[in-house]
Amino acid sequence: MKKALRFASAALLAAAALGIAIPAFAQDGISTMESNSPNMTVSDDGLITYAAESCDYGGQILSITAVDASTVQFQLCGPDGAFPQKVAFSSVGIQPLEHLVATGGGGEALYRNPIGTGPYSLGQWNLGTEIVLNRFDGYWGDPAGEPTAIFRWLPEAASRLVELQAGTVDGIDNPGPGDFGVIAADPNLSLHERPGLNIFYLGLNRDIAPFDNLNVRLAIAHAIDKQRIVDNFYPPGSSVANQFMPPDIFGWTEGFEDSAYDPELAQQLLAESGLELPLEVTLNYRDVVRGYLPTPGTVAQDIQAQLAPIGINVTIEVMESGTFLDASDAGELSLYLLGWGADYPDATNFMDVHFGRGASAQFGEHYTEIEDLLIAAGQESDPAVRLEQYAQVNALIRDNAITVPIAHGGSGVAYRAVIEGQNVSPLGNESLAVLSDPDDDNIIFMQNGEPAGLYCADETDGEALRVCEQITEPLLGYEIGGTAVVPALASEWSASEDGLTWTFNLREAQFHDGSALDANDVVISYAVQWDASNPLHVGRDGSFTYWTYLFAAFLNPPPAAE
Amino acid sequence: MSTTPPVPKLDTSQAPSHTRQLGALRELWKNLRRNKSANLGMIIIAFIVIIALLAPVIAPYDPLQPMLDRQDHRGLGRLPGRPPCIHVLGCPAEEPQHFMGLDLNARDMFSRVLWGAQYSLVVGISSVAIGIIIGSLIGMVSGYFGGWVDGILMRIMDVLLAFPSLILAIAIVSFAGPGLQNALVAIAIVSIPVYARLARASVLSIKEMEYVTANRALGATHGRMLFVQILPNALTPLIVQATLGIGSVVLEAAALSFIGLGAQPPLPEWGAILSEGRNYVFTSPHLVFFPGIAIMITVLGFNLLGDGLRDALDPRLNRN
Repeated sequence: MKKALRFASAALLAAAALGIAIPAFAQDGISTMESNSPNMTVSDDGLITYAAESCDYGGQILSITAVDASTVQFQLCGPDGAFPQKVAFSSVGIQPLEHLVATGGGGEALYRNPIGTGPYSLGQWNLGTEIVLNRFDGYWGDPAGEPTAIFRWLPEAASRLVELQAGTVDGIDNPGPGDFGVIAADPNLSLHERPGLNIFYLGLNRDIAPFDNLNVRLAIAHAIDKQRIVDNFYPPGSSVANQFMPPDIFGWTEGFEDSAYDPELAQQLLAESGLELPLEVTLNYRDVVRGYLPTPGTVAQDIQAQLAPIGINVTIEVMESGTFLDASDAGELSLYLLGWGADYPDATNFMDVHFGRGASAQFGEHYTEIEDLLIAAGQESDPAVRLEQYAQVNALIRDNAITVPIAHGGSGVAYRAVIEGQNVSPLGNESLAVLSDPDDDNIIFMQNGEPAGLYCADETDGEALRVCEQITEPLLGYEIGGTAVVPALASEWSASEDGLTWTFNLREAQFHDGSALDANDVVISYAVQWDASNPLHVGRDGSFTYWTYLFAAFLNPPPAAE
Repeated sequence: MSTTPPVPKLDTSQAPSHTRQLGALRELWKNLRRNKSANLGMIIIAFIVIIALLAPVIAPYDPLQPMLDRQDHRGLGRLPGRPPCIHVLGCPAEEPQHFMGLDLNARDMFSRVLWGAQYSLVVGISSVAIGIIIGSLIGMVSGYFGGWVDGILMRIMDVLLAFPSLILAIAIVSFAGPGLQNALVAIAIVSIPVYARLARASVLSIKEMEYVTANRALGATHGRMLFVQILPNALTPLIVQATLGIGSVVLEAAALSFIGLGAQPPLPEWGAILSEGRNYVFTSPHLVFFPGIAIMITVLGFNLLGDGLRDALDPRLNRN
């Protein structure tokens, strides 16, 4: 309770009377938030509540309340069976209220200097080279295996493997599909296959000709030989996708029949489209290796070769990764290769993100029928009914050929054989804290790329999320090497019978700056993401993309541009 | 009584006659034939040119078509990236022969490398041709007229020369968009200042020669002076530079394709083939070995010929 008192403006006098020093910046920050946001209230004993006026704003959260110093309560607008999975995701990692206030909620001071409660704290970020993490001795759980953990990065799979073979790194992410055999045959290395908890899809934008023509979209859906792509360009552990989520995710439709590979039917559909053939289209992709697409260039060229015989001439255009993602989100690309890896194991993470009300314009105009079904499925507590709703969504995606789901890409992590505690996560969040190296006192892990920032409320890239997950912790977490939800900063949690009230009891934990975790830290860590008008809603680029993916909408969003 | 002053007799004998030019060419050929390196260069280039011309005939497979659906490749397991299969070297007879193996899209590497010769030669020769025509024109005008024309043109050339050539080419292609045609134009633009400088230097010395002065005094037009009197005598260093330049251009085109700005998939340009295989250098070295060797041999051929030409045209070396 002591810390809660420190930050409550209503209790400033009381706190002063108790002789508690209140940092000026924190007072200012709280006062600014309070005066600027009608949604924030502070109780007499200094506990913060952040609440929407009603659920009309379209989001899933109605209020977040610090009930006492170690209890946080969420009121939801509707039942959400996946709520524990969502609050276990790293974008809602908890940082100290003082740090968020001191950094103004964004800028390099925050995204290059995260403060969390995790087993490692950020030591040094040598831009372009490596990120050094130091073991946090005040960690509430088992201490990290080594005093230092280091992240390095190289985009080429072959180069990463060379580093591992040379022993200059202890583990690498995403070995090249052709290197699986090499690693398996090397007694000094050990390979861990990562199940394909992802989806690789061919995106079609119905707002851009010729993909505004349903026959063209259906023709493409029938022209792609997915089995050929998986058999030839994916590593072991991969599988053909027949719907827009992998089988291990709740919501997957058993026995669902996707558009069959039938090039003759594709040709016929194209002939019936009324368009002059051959069609000239551009296929965009980014040359970035991901678990769902381990060899982007070869897959793009194979799709090009597969579409040519039915009368679609494809020009391939490679784009810079960030530009590509922005362009696809903005609905500027007509035909593109993209994918999605699971953040948490629920259909909402695949469906709502791509086809829900808050989804981007990547497939063009939204399908309201699908949006309504997804909202209903998200609020449905009966699993059987949810499954049926997702089956309907799958059918609508197939019948409208909104996109062509192609593959679930297996990937892997390789370690030096002597490393202890080796783990691979289906969600891509390998834990470095459980690794130890008998040869020296550090763990060096090499991934594909450098994080853009480490304030993961405002990051979407897996390269950033993996680093964040060593430093900051959410209320709940995922088991190491699995997808089951386990306690993290909340030691216990419970839901009301109607599924609208979720209560989390915090454990005693310490931040890397020495301050103690309390309920106000949780409320503000969420609130600065949730409330778009909060003065601390700044981040790195201010998009806070995952918030809308997780909880549907921002509170007080800026008015839409005319 | 006034008398008409005698017209001074100007010496125009230095002007190169057709016969003298033929003689010089014969001398050049003789010198080239004596130069072993130049001979090797000519053989290599002739070989590459023949391959490029006959690629449609001698390539055993379509360079753009994956083998994945072919009946004769069924049952071979995972096709992409398969190593070379040559029957006389022990590859099983039931397996289809691929001299250079298959690429990552299961296309025949041998066919792709053969076809790649066409793209490399077309880019090399076209870029140099564009560069030499525009560059020579700028250099000749600049050197011939001098003054402010020279000043402006040469400062522009200085600006272009100040950029590293590949960086400038990347900037141009980034602006114009990736593609082989744009890469060709970019490389040509980058090479213009080299030819302009060279042509200007030659013109500056030639225009002071007596036969030029004589022709000017006889009322020859600027066009005739530039293209009939001066250009033929300024060609020698340009030809040497152009021959050497083709090798560099082939390399630059490959470099642009390597970084994704030149030939776009599925074109079998050597740099693009190299780029596609670079991540598999340890597991499938044939993906980078064959296109790499092809680039090296081609560049070597043009460099050897260029060096030989330079030696053959150098009067000091001739005397030796």
